Amino acid sequence: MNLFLQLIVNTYSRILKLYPRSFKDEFALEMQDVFGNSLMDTAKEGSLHLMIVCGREFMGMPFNILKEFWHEMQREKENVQVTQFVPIKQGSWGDAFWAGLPHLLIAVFIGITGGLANTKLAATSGIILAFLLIAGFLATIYYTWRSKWPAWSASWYGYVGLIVLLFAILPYQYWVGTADQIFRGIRFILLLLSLATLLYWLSRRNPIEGLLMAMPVIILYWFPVMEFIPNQIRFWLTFWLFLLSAVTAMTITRLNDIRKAVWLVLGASILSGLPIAYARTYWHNIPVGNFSPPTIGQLADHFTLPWLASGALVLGPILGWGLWNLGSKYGKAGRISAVIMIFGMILNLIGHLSYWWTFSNEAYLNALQISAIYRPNEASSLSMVYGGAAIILVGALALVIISWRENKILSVPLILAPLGLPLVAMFPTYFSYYIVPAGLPFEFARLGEFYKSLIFLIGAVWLVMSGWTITRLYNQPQQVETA
Amino acid sequence: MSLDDILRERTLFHPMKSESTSPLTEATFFILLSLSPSAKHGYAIMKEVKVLSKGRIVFSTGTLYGALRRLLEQGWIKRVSDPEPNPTDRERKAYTLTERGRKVVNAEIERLKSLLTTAQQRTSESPS
Repeated sequence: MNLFLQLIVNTYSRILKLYPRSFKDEFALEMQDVFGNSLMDTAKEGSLHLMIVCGREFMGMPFNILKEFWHEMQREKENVQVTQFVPIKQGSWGDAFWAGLPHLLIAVFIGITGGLANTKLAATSGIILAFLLIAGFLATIYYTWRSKWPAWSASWYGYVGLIVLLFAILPYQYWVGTADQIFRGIRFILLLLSLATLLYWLSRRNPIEGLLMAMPVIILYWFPVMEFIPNQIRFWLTFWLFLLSAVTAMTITRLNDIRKAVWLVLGASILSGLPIAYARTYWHNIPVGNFSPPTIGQLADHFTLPWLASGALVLGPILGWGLWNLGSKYGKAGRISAVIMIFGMILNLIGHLSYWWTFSNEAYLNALQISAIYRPNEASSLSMVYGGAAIILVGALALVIISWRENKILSVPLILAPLGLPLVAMFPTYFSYYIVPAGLPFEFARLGEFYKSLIFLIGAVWLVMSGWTITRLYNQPQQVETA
Repeated sequence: MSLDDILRERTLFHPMKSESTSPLTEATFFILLSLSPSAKHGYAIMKEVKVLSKGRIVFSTGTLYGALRRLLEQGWIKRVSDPEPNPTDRERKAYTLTERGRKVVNAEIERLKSLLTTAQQRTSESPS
């Protein structure tokens, strides 16, 4: 083989590295040989033929590589679906340790820096520990990438996602003009990408890994509640929050059972949220005269809203996936109905968010400032809320009719379960900030404590029912076959 | 039937997929056909398919190996040691039809024959 042909083959073998790892390991060397043979034979026919062969090969490569990645994803999905029904294999203690480690490291970080109070040593050790944490995260990303993303790595990627999320929502003052617009756009896209990744993991790829990834998001929900709690108490509460998260992540990885993992996450959120809500209600440092006397109703506000909203966001995608599978059972019409419902729910949720955004002065959202891309207003928000609700009803009605025709009318509760999702997820925005819910009377936001508690109770029942539905959806095969 | 029964149905999360083997795509058919007489390595398959299809199907290496991977996963072909020596030092693998693959290709041939027979009968019946 002459030098020129050797150069082409070398370039080809470099590009082969872009294929998915499993494909590359299996076929790359063979493909390199075959391409080399083909080049040598074609070279005898002339340079025009050589150009045609090279053109066909290199032009087709991006498509072929994408096709293999797509195939790889489909295969992984099928494997995940199968493993959900084989007898559950517990994770090792080592895996459990690695899953809990990021939470533990942050708990230690908080413990050391908080324990040293405001000393100079605290500042120095804080910086050193922060660097060690970042280095640890980077090393883990590299290691888990090399070892084909073990399940426990999801725990670490949750924090990577959280960093992206904070980057996207925290305010920046450094950019002006066009640079500012571009910067906002990049942050918004990053925000969407991290949310989409989380949704994908929760629903389609592997819900256990999705739950591990979502834990930092649940933790984040408790931080606004800790505003106005004195520093010393806040330090212990934060430490407890991360320590409990570490134990939860370890238990989830060890048990490796989605039916238990759902309850563990909801339970851990109660155990960490209750003391935070209690401290926020009874031990806050708001100056006298600026607050009303603490009541059980306030405690319920501080606890129930973040618990319901974070729980709804975490369980929602898994329920949505259940809905899709239910639709798939009834063929093409069922699938279309499920897609219509899911689309309606997403539109409805965006509409609620947009409506709240229109009227709120929420600092984080204002800081996000994606007005360059979408400027929320009452008309567009309400259109999305009503349009989304109508689409959900159309999809739900179609699915109910289809299941009724198949004599499976009792699956209706599952069809209806996700309906509460958008509203429950938006509870904190309506009850904490007293924005009138989109499409509901003004009085709704000023409800007396009894009625509010009733609504919270309905939300909690919905959440528990959704958790129960998920545990039934993921039954084991032995039970399936004897049913 | 209770809600539990419905939720427990295996198909809820796993709509049953029936494996469809027929009709095969032209490319798949020619790959299987090229392996019908004997085992072949990748480059030999590429050349054989070009000849069998009278130059209509010319695979790039990437497309060929994508298709071979699919056929391996379906269990229609398997890997064996290549009887021919490799010009490079590396051990070369060849591909051969499995029993299942042979059945698939035979079924496809039967289907094509039946199609042809039907078409011929129909055209011979048509008024001239």
